[in-house]
Amino acid sequence: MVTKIDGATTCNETERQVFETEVNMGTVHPAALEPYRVRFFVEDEIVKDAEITVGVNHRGIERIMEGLPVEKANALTEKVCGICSNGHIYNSCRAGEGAIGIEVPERANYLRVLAEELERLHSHMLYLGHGSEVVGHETFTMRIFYIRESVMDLLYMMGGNRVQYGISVLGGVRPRADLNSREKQRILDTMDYIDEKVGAFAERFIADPMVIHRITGTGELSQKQALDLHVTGPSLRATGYEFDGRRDMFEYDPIDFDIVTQDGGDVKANILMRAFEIFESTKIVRQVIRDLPEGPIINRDWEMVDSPVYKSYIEVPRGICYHSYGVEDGKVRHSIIRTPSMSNIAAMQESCIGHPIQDAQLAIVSCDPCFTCTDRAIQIIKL
Amino acid sequence: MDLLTTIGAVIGAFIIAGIVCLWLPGVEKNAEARVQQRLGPQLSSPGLYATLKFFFKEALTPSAVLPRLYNTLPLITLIVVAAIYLILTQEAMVYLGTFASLVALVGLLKVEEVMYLFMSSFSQSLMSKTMPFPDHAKGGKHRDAKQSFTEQISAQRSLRLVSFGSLPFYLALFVPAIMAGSIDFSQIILYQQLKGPILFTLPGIFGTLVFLIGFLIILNSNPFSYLEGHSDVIQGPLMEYMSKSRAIYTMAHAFLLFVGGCVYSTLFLGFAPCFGVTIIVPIICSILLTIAAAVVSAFAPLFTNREFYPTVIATSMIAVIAVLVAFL
Amino acid sequence: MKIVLRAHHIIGLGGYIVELRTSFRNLIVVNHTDEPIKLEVPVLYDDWIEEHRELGLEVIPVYDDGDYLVEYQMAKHKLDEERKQLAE
Repeated sequence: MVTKIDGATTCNETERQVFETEVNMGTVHPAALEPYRVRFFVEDEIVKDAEITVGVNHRGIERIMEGLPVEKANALTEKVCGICSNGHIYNSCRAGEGAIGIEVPERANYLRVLAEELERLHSHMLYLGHGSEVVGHETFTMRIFYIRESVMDLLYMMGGNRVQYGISVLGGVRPRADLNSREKQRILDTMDYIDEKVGAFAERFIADPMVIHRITGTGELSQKQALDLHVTGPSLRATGYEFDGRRDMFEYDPIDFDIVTQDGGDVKANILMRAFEIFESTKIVRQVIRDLPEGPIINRDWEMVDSPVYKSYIEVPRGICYHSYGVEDGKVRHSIIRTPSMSNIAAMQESCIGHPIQDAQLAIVSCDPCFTCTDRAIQIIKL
Repeated sequence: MDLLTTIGAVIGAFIIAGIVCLWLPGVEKNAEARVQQRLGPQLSSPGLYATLKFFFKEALTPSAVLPRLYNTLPLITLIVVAAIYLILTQEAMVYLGTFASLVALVGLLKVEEVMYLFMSSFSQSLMSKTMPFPDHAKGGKHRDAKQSFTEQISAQRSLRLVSFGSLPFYLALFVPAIMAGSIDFSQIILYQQLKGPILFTLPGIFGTLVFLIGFLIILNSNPFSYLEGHSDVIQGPLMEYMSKSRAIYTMAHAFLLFVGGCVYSTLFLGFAPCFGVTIIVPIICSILLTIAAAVVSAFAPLFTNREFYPTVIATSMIAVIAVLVAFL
Repeated sequence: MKIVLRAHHIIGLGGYIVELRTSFRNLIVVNHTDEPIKLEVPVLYDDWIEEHRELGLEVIPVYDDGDYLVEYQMAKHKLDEERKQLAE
């Protein structure tokens, strides 16, 4: 059901309903990691309709990118978000390389995949922690964040930073991100640690009847709704739809992995999705380390050319991320960044209907929203 | 004991209670932290230092209806909790006569619960309706919808807690009364001095379990803290408290933790708080109760109505069984 | 989901458009009115333009072969002129 606007010309059934009251939350709220405004239209604490308003975190990144040299524009895209930072710079470099026609060395592609999968690991664990916190179970939050630290250490090892590691550059990866044998072994050991600990966490989580009762049937989103609203990523796969953008990425062609799906599209399905995807990611990381080819990690042998807009799609932890820009005189033209959270959050507006307010917040959080990614509108206040 | 000595002993008991209760929040936080494999704060920080710190903070006018009355409510809560402690104090029982009974205990606890209802109703923080955001802009949904503060949700929830949430706790209090054949605290204590603590009987065991769950509900402790569930209503009734009001509320909450232990110690062990060596028993009970609350909080998610109603019903049924067994 | 466009402001929707479902690449939206207006996002269909024009907004679609910067600067210039007149 696509939400139609309220105005002089449109009206749907929910517009005619009389609600007991409207309860607003935000833009500052402890359950919301980032600022947004949500209006719940409730009847005896049950949400009958909801409206999420975003845009309060905008920084005009696409506008700033306009006219910047390509390399600088790529570095800027990493600042879109802290959790999905690698996805943005990777995709931005990919768009630039596609536009200019730069061939990336194979070793660099493998390292990019490695960085992306490590980011997926830490992002999914952060989601599990945040979801547990919104459910009210801080112990689970603390446990998963403790496990997550091992991934943050690996990202620090590769990129020199826990967030915004700057691994991808135009033509390949930074020399710092290259791995020696000791670092490769450390990554493999960490994957074993994660498999063991996250497995134990997931078993304990699923065995907790109180938590399962909270999350089962909460925030259900049907497959049809998800497809209508252009939901992508784990939130779509949680409805049973088998689609993973990594299958269309040439970097993942040599890698063997399964597409994990769940049924129901509720909070439980979303949580289990991320938990099982962690195991798939560790599998991918092991393959990358095992098959990492020798060779250069950056291609500097290219020339800047003008190009019409080039479109690049990759699968980031939350879904399909789209970067697109053209190149003119070495500068970025007409940059667009579309993130998966934008569609996912809009879908969550529908999924929280019919649930109590506490569960409504849980439903909104279940799509792993990244409002920072979503808010990049170009709104010039003054030049 | 003459009146002057009694007053002195009661003051002494209050001083001991005041010193002990401010360490209980630290015990609670540390117990929860250790479950979560964290170190936790200093033992004195959440209770003692926090209270002192809040006293020296700048007091602004809260965003509330009748702000002065709103600021007074924590003080009323503290007085009510102190009154509960007074009627439990062994020295005062003699002079209070039949006032030192379960009726007074239940009545005062109800007043304490109703305070949350008033706090929620009065509080009108910026975090919801009055946030300067163009909610009703053209193009938005339901532009003529009536808006409420998030604290109104807390008020509705506190009404539910007052109506039936505390039912298990009050049912548990029947067990010692039935076994002792009296609602007077002095008679209940005397019964246990002759026949041993009620805890070591079958109805006492059931009653203890129900008391623990019921007291967690009264304390608004996780998983029953949906009155102040931070995932939606943030702090609920306490949102606008700052400086002295918050300090007094912190003291009242810590005191309630201690008083809960004292209630249990009096009714199920036969040791009332007093200005003497035997006050160690209520102190140990309150520490154990605090740790139990922290452990339950660490291992449970926040309950919504879907989980709260069945929990209250199930706990009440156990309490009824305990009462029936007590009759036998 | 909504975003608020304040009175006398301009916005380029860019990443709020699901380009796989629309014929345009970008939308420049200008609010010439005196009140804030909420826009529905994501933009999933072409009819979005007409629906939001009915709310009083000026909506300028930019296609793949269009020059976004030129269109934006022109709309911005027009808006600046209006703001100057209002300030007077």
